[in-house]
Amino acid sequence: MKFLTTPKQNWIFFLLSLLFLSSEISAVAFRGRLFSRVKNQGEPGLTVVIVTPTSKIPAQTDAEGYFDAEVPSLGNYTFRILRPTGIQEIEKSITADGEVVTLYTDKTPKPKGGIDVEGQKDKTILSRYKVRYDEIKRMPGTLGEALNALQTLPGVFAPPVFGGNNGGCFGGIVIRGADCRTNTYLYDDLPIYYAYHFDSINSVIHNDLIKTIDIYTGAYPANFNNATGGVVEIESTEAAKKATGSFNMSFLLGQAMYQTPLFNGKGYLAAGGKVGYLDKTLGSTGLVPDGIRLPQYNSSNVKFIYNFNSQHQLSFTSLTALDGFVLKAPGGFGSNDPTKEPLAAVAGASVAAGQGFRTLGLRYTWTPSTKFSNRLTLINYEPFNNTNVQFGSLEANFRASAPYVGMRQDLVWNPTNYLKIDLGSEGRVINYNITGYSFRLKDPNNPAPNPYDLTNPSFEKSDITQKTRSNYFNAYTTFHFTFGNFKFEPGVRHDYLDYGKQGATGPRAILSYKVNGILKGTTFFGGAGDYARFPYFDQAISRESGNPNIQFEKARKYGGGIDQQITDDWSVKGELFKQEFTSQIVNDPYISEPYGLNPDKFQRLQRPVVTNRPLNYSNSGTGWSHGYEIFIKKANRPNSKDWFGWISYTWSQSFRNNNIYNADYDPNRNVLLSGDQQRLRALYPNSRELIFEYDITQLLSVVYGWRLTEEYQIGGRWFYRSATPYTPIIGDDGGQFKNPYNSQIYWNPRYSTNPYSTDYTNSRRQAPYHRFDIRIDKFLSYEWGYVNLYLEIINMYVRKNINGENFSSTAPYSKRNPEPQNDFFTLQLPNGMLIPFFNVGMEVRF
Amino acid sequence: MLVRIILLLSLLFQITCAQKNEKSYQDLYALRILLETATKPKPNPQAACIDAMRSAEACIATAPEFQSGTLTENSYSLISSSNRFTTYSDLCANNLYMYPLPANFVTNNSDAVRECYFKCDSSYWKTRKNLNTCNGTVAIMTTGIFNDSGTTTCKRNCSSSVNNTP
Repeated sequence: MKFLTTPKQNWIFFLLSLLFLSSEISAVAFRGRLFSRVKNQGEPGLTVVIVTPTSKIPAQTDAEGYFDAEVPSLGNYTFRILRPTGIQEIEKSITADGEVVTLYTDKTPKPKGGIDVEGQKDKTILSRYKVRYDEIKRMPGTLGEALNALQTLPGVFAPPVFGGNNGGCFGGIVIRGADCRTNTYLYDDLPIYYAYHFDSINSVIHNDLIKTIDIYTGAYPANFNNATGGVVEIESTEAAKKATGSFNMSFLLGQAMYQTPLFNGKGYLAAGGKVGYLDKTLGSTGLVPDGIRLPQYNSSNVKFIYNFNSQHQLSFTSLTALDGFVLKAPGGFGSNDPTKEPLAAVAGASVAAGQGFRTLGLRYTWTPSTKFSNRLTLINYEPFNNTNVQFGSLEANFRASAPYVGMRQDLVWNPTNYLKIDLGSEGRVINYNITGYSFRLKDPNNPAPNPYDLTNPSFEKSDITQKTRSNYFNAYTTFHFTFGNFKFEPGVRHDYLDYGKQGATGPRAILSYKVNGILKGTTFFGGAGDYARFPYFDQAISRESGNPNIQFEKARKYGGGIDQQITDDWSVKGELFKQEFTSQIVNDPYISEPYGLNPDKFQRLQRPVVTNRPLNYSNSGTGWSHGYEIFIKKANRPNSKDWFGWISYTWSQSFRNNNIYNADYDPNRNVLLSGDQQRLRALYPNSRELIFEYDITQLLSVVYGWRLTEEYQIGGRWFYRSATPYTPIIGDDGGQFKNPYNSQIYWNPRYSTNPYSTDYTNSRRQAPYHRFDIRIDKFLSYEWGYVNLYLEIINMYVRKNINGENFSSTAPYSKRNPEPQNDFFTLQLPNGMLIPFFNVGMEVRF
Repeated sequence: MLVRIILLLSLLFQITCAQKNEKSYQDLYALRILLETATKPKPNPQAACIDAMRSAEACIATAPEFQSGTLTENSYSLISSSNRFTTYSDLCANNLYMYPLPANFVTNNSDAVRECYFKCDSSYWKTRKNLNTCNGTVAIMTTGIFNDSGTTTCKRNCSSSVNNTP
């Protein structure tokens, strides 16, 4: 060691040694185990090859299925298992030195009543919450409808169906302060026109055909489109080990499901259906006033899969739904006091509404390797609705449908260990067919249009007949870069619509970084993106009664947060978000084109051309929402007897501005201006930002579920939310008009026109809404299956929650009119005693 | 005038550029409204009122109440102002007209609306004159202003932001 005589030489030697040894020092040793869930034991005597970027590391399993190996660094690796029958590849992460990694080589056989949980796609961590079917199927307060459980997740609020001034969402959900009509629902990536039937409680998807539901509440990936709110992605079941079925009856509806493997396990067929018979049950009790036929509906879901081999799969999906509702209020009155008649305010009115859709999807999936998959889907989709309304000066009678035939392609390619690429495109031929006439509100700032005012009608009738064909194309791509614990997922999509010759480009990106040091791992994430939505099935885009230039509604979404995995079961997720809405479609009484055909077809012969032809709708609206969410979850393994639950809390604010002229803010509003002056004035809108009608400041849900024994399961849910804002009624119009059908004076409510008053639009809130629900399930097991009896008690502590104000237009404004409008989760006995709402049901599974 | 021409050319240039830059329909709409406003003369209700009075005079002069050539600006002004004014200019400046105007006519209507109303009335009288229907009584012909559908539509157009008759 003569050459190591100086301290400098010593240092050089030490550094060189470190350099040579560094690969050894940084190598990660771990123990692996191949484990068969079917055999419930390790797999002995197999060769495992661990594929690293630079080499292939072989290992051999011992009698218990264990093997020892070293890899260069922590990260994601492919384990190639060599069997006499072929090669199996499994992806797994090595997250710590000395870790014992279990590689499950197959799936657990499905127990009775359980479901398969298939391998999950790699999905974004940002603004996404996932619920499993077994977590939500028996959730209290959902009236047996799994989709209702989404309301317990952060940022999700289901407005009351007829909630005073705020009603009208009708089964929709408000996601992070976005309008409830701007969400997209997908079932296996196929479109659903509406998620809920007319009773707004039951969905159009059979519970037992749901595997998982993912809800994207913020910046969602590029493969989804047409939502400035959120995306609800429902994944269906894909396989069955044996033929099973279920039958479920309740007061509201009956539903049945059957699924079976076919062709020696190569195929799979599942069919489910629902029939609502509220008109036969509640409708025959005499509690419903004469003239109302409660909603009738039915829906069906069919799925067929055939696997030619491991590379080629063909599937066919059919989804249908049909809903109908009729009201024909008697014209006269049976009693001496017309105000006591239940339908006095709308005497003579008739409403017949129907809607439905049919979705057919034929899908071919080609998976030549674990690194490449391509999917082609031929889609035939037809949503439609029929409306026939006669109510004072409101008259509408039309049938509308917007069918399309489309071809969609979705490719997933994993060219390297650090990159995965999603690439997709779609082309559609869309028809927009509408026949009949409808009405629209003349002044969008009029908070109390009077349907019986025939001298200066608040509504105008117009022929909306139109038949248009258009093409629509889209393309998207997302790059998923993974460098160790760092993930970067940039993506972009472009949507182009021939109708109006317009397109929308939406770039987006998500970043995440996982730190392994704290407990089971901490992930920091953030993302943003531009999103667009086009109202394909809306009067606003009509050439006859709307604006054919209407552009995509836009939203820019930002979000970021931390996900802390505390144990294998416990996790906490916190997220901050902001959303900016632009180009929102609003009713605009000023926007016009210089000249055009008279929109009133009845006058077209005498006056064929008009100047300043109204377009009625524009993209002037803007808005924003922001807030934060906290989600604490205790998971359990599927079908285990462990308890599960979560706490979700959301704080948010949401505002809107329609950016059109509003006389309430104009000190010179009494001066009548010429048309030219009005149009010029409207270029400089004076409307102010107001609280969004579905703004919810605080949302809190606590969910708990526990399978106590083989026979019993219990669940509880406590739910709290701030009230939605409302506009108080401050008087009436003095009863200027009468309903001609029963000569009853119609007292039209009056609202504040003073924007600086505390009574102005959306400036009040009722008391917060909260309730506690429980559900008790009893299972009776038989050789052929089981019977599940359940009792659901909603609003256990009988709180009289208020949804809004209820004004009776058959009486003048007074201290008792309006009165608070309660929800229907309290029942009053004949002796006046209040009891909670309850629901009993039975499910038979064979 | 020069300023107006420059503004007009500037707006035309903007419209051309806007189309090239694929501006939204709302931007194009705004430019159109600005262009229309820029090219319209400033409203002059006084002049329109005088013109309406002259048009009325031309028709009413042949009414049975008046002998030929007896109705002049002086006499019609005196009749319409209860002997206070002798010229249409003074008459109109004092919110007087061929028929009683509402007391708050000036404060509740913009210059453009008032001018438009007077023009509608003027058009009514000129139409009667052209059709040779000026032989009715003054009362019947003046009341006709309120019953004539063309004049009613014309006045509706004055304050309607959309759906106007060409």
